[in-house]
Amino acid sequence: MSLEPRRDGAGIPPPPDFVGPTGPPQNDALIDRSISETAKHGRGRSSEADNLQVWVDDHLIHQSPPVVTRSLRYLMARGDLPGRLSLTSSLFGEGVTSMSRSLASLIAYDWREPTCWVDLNWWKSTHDAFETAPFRQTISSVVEGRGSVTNLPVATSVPGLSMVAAGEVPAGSRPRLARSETLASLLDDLSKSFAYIVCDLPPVLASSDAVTLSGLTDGFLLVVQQRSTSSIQVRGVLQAMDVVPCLGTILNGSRSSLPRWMRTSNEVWALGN
Amino acid sequence: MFIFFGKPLLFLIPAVVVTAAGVYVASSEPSEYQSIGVLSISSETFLDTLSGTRTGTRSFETPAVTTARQFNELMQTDGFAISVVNGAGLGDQRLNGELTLLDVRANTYAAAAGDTIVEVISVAGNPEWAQKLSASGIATFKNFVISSEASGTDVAEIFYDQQLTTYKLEVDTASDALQAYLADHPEPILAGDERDIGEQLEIEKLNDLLARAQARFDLAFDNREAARLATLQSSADIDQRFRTLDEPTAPDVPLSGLTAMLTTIIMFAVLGILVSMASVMLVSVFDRSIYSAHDLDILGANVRAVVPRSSAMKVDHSRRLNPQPVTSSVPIRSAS
Repeated sequence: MSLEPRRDGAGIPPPPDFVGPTGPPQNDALIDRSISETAKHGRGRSSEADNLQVWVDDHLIHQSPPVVTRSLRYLMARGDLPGRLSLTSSLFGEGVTSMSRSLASLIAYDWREPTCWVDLNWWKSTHDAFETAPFRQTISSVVEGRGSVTNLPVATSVPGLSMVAAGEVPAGSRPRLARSETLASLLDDLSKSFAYIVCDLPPVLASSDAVTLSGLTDGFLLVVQQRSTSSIQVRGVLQAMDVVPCLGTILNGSRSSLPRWMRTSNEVWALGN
Repeated sequence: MFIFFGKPLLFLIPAVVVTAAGVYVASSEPSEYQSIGVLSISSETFLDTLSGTRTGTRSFETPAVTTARQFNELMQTDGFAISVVNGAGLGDQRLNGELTLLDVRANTYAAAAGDTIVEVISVAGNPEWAQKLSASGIATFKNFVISSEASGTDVAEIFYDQQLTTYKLEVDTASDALQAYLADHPEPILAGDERDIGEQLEIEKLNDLLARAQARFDLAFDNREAARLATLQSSADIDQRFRTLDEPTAPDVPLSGLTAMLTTIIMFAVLGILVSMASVMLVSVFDRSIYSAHDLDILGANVRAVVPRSSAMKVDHSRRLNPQPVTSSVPIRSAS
């Protein structure tokens, strides 16, 4: 695994004729499809590796600014991320979705590993139309039997990166879904096709299902927004999630006026002098 | 520390405000004038040697220290302090409340400036008052020492004065009685005649009375003179022991206020810094927000990454318990 970003292909807007996966591929073909689709349209084009953009069809799903990719590469430098990891937070609005998407993008882009970002956060129920439109199949539809797991991953403009949408699940059904065998087997199927599964979980203090969902992964990263999250909340989350290995925390939205000599190494790395 | 460095100017406001208050207080303090009288203290004088008084007075303290201590102790008594004020001619001001004994005690004191030099210092808002209080302090102290050391001779002098009056009356009475008897019984005119024996005995008796009265008067007079001499001797001795080298003068310029001003300002500045530190600590206690990676390290949460604030990530919206739509800040790229 190399920290040296690839300069070819990924991270750039797709051409107009890029339509993404359409057919129902088999499990083994999932990653091939997503890579080939992206490669077909993206290879050979120059891009800003530090400003990763994730396109699906004509929709810009996500972009990682250079400051974010730089910081997350610091996280990835140790290379000890498990194959199936999740990101969660204390409360809503701490940037879990953005962090998980950026992390998945970087794993796929830097490590050249097939990676799937999986949205398990049904609590952010009202998605924007342009963000949900590319996902014809969602986890909820598959669980309800209205689709196949093979259609779930949607290839993106980032080579190796696919995305799975959560879909709409009634509030009363979410705890049952989180604990269902169907969901566990769905993730197992995805794990067969992707080296890395990055799950976007609901906030721990907003839903107890976060603990259950994180149990489907090998460990979780806790996203903490600076100046907003209290130490009491973080301690509470760590205590609630003690059944799952904590891979560490990501301090998001950081802005420090501390002198350099008082900063930790990753603050110096991320925030400079 | 993050709380302080996050908004350093905010937390420095108390320090700045309190220091500014200190500057105002220091600059608005009224001017004070200081007058100093210098006394030379001798433990032995030539008069002591001649008269043999106050022999064998030895102390571990220097004369100056003893005198200064004695002066300062006396200033704590109402009688001495009032005498100083009255001696300075400021009795009316004391009665009017313009000058209090507390002020006088706090601002009139003695300090040793060597083994034999004592400075009597007085500080007042009025230069003349300072000079008068210092001079009165010296004079009152001298009078006190004189009166305490010559108190025995004073009493003797008064006693003998009273006795002299009585004895003078007895002498006059005896003299008058003798004169009257002689006038009533003149000497015989004829030569060779003598007074009869009765007259001679009466005249002799009157003469004896007069002689005894005169003798008592003379003895009392001698004693009173001895007492008066002793008083004069003590006074002269004390004048010699406490010689005023420099008379207190009315100062033309106020005390140099630079030191006092700096002291006041520094005290206020330190107080302000303490207030700032207290406010930082108070905010730190009540604000449990995560400010830095170090805060997470304290909780045992291994910080894997620090992501700077980025408007493109849209993480600035408020945290909440209820879900809201996740929006992208990037517009949809239109298909061409």
